[in-house]
Amino acid sequence: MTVISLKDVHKKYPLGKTEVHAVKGVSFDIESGDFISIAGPSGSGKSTILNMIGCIDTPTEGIVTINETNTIDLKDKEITNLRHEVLGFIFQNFNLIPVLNVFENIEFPMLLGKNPLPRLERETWIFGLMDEVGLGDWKTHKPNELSGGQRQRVAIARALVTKPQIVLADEPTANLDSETGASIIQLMKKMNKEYGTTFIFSTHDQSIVEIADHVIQLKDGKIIENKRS
Amino acid sequence: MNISKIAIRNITRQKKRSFLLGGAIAFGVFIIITIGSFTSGMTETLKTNFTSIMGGHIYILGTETLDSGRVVQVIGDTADLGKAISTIDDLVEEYHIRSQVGMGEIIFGSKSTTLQISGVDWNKEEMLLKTLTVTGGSLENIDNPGMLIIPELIADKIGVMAGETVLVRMDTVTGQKNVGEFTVAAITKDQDNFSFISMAYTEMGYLNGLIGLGPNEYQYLNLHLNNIEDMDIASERLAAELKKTSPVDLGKDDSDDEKEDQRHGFMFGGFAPGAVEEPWEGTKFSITTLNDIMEPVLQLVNILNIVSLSLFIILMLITMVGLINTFRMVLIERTKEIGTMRAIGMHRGSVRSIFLLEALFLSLFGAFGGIILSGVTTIAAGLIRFTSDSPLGLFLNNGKLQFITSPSGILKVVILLSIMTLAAVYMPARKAARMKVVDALRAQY
Repeated sequence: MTVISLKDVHKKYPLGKTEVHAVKGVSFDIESGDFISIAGPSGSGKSTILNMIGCIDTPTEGIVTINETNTIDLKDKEITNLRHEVLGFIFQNFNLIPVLNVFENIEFPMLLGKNPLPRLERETWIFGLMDEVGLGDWKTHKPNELSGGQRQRVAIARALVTKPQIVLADEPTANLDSETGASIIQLMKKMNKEYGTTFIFSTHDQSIVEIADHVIQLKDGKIIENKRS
Repeated sequence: MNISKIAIRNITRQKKRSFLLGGAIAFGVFIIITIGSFTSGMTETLKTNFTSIMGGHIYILGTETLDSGRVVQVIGDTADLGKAISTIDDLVEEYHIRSQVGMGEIIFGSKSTTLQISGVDWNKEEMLLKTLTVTGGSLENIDNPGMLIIPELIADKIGVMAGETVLVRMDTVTGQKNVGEFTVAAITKDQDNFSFISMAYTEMGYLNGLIGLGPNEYQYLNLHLNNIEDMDIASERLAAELKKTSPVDLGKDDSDDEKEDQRHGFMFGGFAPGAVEEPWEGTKFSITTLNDIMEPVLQLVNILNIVSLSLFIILMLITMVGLINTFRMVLIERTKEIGTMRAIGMHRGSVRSIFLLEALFLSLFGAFGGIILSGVTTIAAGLIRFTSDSPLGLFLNNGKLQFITSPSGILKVVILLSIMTLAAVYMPARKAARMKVVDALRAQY
């Protein structure tokens, strides 16, 4: 089942007096449960494509659909609800809320919904997730008390806590050493298998690209390779 | 719940900055609440002191014109007055009748000083007796003719002691000079430190004889009400009833200078008898209330309150400018965080709420600090005992300043502060909420 579809998507940015054409007519489909890598060198348009899939940016031309809904037609409230209900985000810089501890950071997206789970159920689910990502003993620690790898594990748990259909990870290993980076990708893969969540991650590191089932190679804003293993 | 938690924790992120802002708010709140408490306390103290000294809340003065055209202060035939008073009987707790020497001269040996003497019916002045603190002599035989109670200040000035005899030079109601002999029965602490009036007391019958009044005559009828709030209603009802049979002057209706002077004359010791513009038949009643006497003081209190409110608003405006600038900085510092929260599903309204709540909590913490500081200050200031000749004597209650902090006053300050805070932070909060998610996430700070 296709969950995401990009059709002839372009993205142009104004840069001073000139214009940068970051994405040039990209089209591809993503199936439910895929573990996809969008790979390419810096400036190839990986993050821009992820941003458009994540509904935090809009294409200049073309169509992005999620579950057959054209995201361009949605209002801010609808897009916010879509992001909350369907998407999970993992950022290169972890982007945890500094004033919240590990548990609260993971819990945070759950409380943004209209009907959060009852407290006991919520706590059971979060503690389970924390154990899954290896942070069972770090419940009350603040982000600044964690290593980079641990922070990214918190981010993964936070992305998964609302049981989204799709998780978008923008260069999740870029700020980690290679060993930790590999473990993070392995963790994402494990979650993909366990929960059936579609994972889309961008990277410029060829060594972790191969872990993906589906690789989309970009160069200068265009797809140069779209292969499934 | 989560939004409030984040807002509160955000305050602690920049402790020094939050402390300074909260401190500025606390200072403003401290100023307005302390001044408000002082003025309220001052008003109440003055009311209590005046009520005690004057012997009630409503003062009825009787004046008659003699054949010579001279005006004398006297209430004799009480039938009309009694009937009028019966109409407000439900509002009155006690009735006090008094005669008074406005400006007497007390002489002991070679020393003399001025004082006022009230002639009182001791059988009906329990309330007054309770307020007198005896420092010399006793109150045992005070209802004997010629017994005099004088304040400590007067006793010290002329060097007299209890049991000794003094002379008092005074004017009779018809303006004649007379001298009376008194025995100092008791020396009292200056009443409620209200020493500027230097009121002495004696048995009314004896004083009446000296000032030319009959044994059943008096000059003032003072009414002590059950509830001070009924003062205006009671005086209006009384005046309406009295007007049916007698000419009546109402203190609050008198606006010309002469009557204004009369009112102050009444306040500080009785009208000076003299010729008057138009003679009248029978007794003319003048009704003055504590509110009329307090009017200049209340005006002063109002001015003080306006000054403190203006000061508070100016202080708060300066603080609000600081608050706006702080939250503009906060907006920059937390751009990426805002982007993250929006990306994971937070609505614009919630982002705005975090900013508004953070500012509101900061203000409320500051206000709480200001209230505590004000409470500590007023309690400490209220413990200081001033000497009886202190320039603050007018505002002292048993030698101490009185502070009355009204919860509704505090609530008004907190509400005003909250509105100002929310208005100040609204624009940065709105800007944060309307930020484009992608731009916020790209921020490098």
